[in-house]
Amino acid sequence: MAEQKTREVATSLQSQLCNIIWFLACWALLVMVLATLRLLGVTVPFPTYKIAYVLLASLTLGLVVILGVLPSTRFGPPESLPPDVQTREERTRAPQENGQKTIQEAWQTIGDGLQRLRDREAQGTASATSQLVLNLRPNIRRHSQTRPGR
Amino acid sequence: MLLLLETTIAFVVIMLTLSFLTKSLTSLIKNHLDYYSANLKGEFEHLIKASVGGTWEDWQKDVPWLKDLRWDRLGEEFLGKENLTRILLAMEAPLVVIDSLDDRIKVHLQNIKYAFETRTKNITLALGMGICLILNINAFTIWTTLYSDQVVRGKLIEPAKIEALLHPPQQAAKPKQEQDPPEQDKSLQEIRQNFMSQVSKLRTDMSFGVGRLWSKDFPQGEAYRQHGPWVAMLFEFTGSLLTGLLLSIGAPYWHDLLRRLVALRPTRK
Repeated sequence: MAEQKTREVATSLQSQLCNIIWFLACWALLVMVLATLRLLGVTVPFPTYKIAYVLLASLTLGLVVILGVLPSTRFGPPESLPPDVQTREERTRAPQENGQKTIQEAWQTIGDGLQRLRDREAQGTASATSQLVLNLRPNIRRHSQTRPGR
Repeated sequence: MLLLLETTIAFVVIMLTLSFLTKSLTSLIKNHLDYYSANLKGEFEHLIKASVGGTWEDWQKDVPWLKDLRWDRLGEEFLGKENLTRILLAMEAPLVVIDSLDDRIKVHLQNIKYAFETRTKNITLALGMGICLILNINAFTIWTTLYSDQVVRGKLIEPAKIEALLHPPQQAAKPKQEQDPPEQDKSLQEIRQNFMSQVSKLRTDMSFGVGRLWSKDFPQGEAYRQHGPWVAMLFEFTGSLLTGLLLSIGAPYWHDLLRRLVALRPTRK
């Protein structure tokens, strides 16, 4: 988001700079045309100082319009995305990933529990409940092998 | 001291009148360009993009009526909490976004206000400068004329005129349908004639050096002739630019200043 913000500001500045350069180029061209006409001896019905006034006024007004009036309608960079807000793609992707993770963890816990019971059985310290669970072990094992993540 | 005060009052009256003119033109441009709607749409886009991501096409799939919106007819009420909650829920936005909506709306509304005011100020500045530079309205010349010409100053600061500027008559607007067309034409003609006579009187009585640069006998006056046309031109340019800046300060400022100065005047007499 910060990159996008920087990009937007850079694009805005670039377009403004481009406008200024274009305007200054046109203005300079106009000055050059007038200077050339004068060098060629072409007489214009206005005194030079009046033409200079028009040129100065157009330069000032042009810069005010380009810098103040033309810039993008929106001011200030866009708000950054809050850290706990997910985009639509992230939200649709998240449940699948999270679900797979939960199932894997569940099977891992069952596997660990069975391993502990097996150890107790080997030591001869398994309780009646443990014995019951161990009797169900083949079913659990078979079931776990058909599930993803094992 | 009274001379200075009267000159200042007359100067402020002129500035106030010119500010009204600039303000009216700004309103005309503002309504024509309608950049408020563009700002509103931009901020709505920002808010939705920051909340659910995606593009206009995606949003229109979830909320089909978005494509029928006429932004030029909407105000900031559109960014109300209820309305946006309904839209965001339709777009399956997470609840955390809905919870923080109130504060985010405030930020976006401030952005709209800031952008609108800044652009209006910039347009006023450009217009003020444009008018002053094209018509060659120079604040220095106005001030000098007022300071040296008692008749002109007296005409400008007539109590009735200042009263009219400070408290414009609140005429009950007659509905259009109640006015007969011939009567309306007659009143318009009267207004037009009155306006034209006022303008011609203003032109003959008080030119204040407006458009002096464009006249054939420029530069006039001993000082101008002494320094030559280039210095005179630079003086006019600087003066016009400064006047443009003064106009863009705004009519409310000149109005307040005039009220304070008029309140000062009787106590001085």
